[in-house]
Amino acid sequence: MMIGDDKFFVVALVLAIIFAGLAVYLIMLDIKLSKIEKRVMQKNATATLNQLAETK
Amino acid sequence: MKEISELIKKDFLLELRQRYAINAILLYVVSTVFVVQLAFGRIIDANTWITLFWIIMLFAAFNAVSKSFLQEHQTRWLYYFTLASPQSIILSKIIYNSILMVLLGFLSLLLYVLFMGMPEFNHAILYPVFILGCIGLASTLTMVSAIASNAGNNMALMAILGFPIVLPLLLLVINSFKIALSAEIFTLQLIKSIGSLFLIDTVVVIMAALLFPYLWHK
Amino acid sequence: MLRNWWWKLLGLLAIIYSIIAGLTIQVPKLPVIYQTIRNLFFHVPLWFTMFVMFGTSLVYSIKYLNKLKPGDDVAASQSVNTGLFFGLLGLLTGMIWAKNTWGDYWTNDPQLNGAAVSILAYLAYNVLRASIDERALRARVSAVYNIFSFMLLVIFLGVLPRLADSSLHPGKGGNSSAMADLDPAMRLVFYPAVAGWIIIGFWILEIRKRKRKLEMFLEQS
Repeated sequence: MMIGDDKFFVVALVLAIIFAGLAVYLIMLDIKLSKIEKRVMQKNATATLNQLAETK
Repeated sequence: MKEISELIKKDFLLELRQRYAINAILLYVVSTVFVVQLAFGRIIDANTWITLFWIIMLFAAFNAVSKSFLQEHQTRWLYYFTLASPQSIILSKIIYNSILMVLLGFLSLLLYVLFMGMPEFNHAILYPVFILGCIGLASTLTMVSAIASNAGNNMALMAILGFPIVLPLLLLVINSFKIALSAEIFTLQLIKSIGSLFLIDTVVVIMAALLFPYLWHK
Repeated sequence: MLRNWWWKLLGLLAIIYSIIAGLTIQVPKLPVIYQTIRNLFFHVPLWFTMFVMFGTSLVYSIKYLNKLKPGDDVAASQSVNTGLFFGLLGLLTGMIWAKNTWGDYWTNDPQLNGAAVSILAYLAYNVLRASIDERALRARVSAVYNIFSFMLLVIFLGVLPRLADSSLHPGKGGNSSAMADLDPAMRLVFYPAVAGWIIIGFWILEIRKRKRKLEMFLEQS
C-alpha cells in the first residue's frame, strides 16, 4: 500500500528535493566560510609579521 | 500646491518645446500597430485585441515615463531641490506623466481602432477603466524610474525593476477590459475590478509621496 | 548555550514531527491527488516561510529608512535571499507535484503566478543592489524599492486570485480560505510543519547575517 501505488513516490520526491536543497545550501555555506576563514588567517599573519618588524 | 502646478507647467513647456515624447511614442505606436495589422489582419478576437493593445500600451508607457527622471541632468535636479520639496516634485511628475499617458493612450487607442477595428465594448465601463489604467501605469513607472535613476540611469534596469511591479496592474486592466465586453453595467466583478484598480492607483501615489524623499536626501 | 538554541531545537523537532506524522497519519482519499495530499505538510510551508522572510525584509527596510543603521540593511537583503531560497525550493517541489497531479509542470494558476511574480520582484531587488556601488545609497534605494514592491505584491496576491473564478488550488472561486475544509487531524500536522519551517528560516537568516557581517568586516579593514 505504501510504495508504488497512489502516487506515493511524489511525496518521497518532494521530501528528497527539500533535503537536496538544504544540502546544497550547507555546502555553499561551508565553502564561503572557508574563504572567510582563510582571509582572517592571512590578515592575522600579516598583522603579526608587521608587529615583529616594528619590535625589531 | 502652487509649487506642484508650476512644476507641471514647466514639464509641459519642456515637452512642447522638444516634442520628444509625443512624437517618439506615437511613431512607436504607429509602427507596432502596423505590424500587428500586417500579422493579424482585421479579423481578431476580442481577447487578443485587448491583450495586444495593453502590451503596446505597456511599452509605450515604459518609453514615455522612463525619461522623466533619466533625462534631466543631476545638476538640474540639485537646482529643483533648492526650489521645491521632494513631495511636490514627485507628485508633479506623477500628475504630468498621468496626463501625458492619458493623452497618449487615447491617441494610441484611436490609431489602434483605426487599424484593427473595435470589438463591441460597453463604453460607460471602458473609458473609466482605461483612464485608471493609464494613470496607474504612469504613476507606478514614474516611481520606478525615480528608483532606477539612482542606479546608473539605464533602461534595462528600469525594465527589470518595473516589470514585476507593473504586472498586477496590467493583468487587472486586461481583466476589466474583458468585463467591459459584456453589456451589463453594474456587476460584482466590475465593481471589484474597478475598486482594485482604484486601490492600486491610490496606494502607488501614497507610497511614492512617502518614499520619494528618502531617494533624494543627499 | 541552551538559551540561544532552544528555539532552533523547537523548529527541528516540529519538522521531524511533521515528517513522521505526515507520512503515517490517515489521510482522506481524494481523486487525482491520492497520497500526494501529504505534500501539504512539506510543500506549502516553504511558501509560508518565503512570505514570512519577505515580510521580515520589509520590516528591516522600514527600520533602515528610519534609523539608517547599516545592520538593518544587511538584515533586509539577507532576509530576501533566504526567502528566495525557500521560494526556489517551493517552486521545484510544486512543479513535481503539479506534473503528477495536474499533468503539467507549469499551469496558468493565479496562486502560481503570484508566487512567480514575487520571486521576480525580489530577483529584481538583487539586480538593483548589484548595480549600485556606494553602500549607503544602495541601502537607501533598495529599501525604497523593497517597500514599494512589497505593497504592490500584497495587493496582487490579495486581489487577483479572487478575481479569477477558477484556480486549481483548493478553496478558490470566491473564498480564499484554503484551510477551511481541511481535515482536523491534518491540521494538527500542518500547523507545526509551518511553524517549524518558519523557525528554520529565521535560523538560516541568522547564519546569513553573521556571515555577511564577517565579510563586511574583512572588506572594511
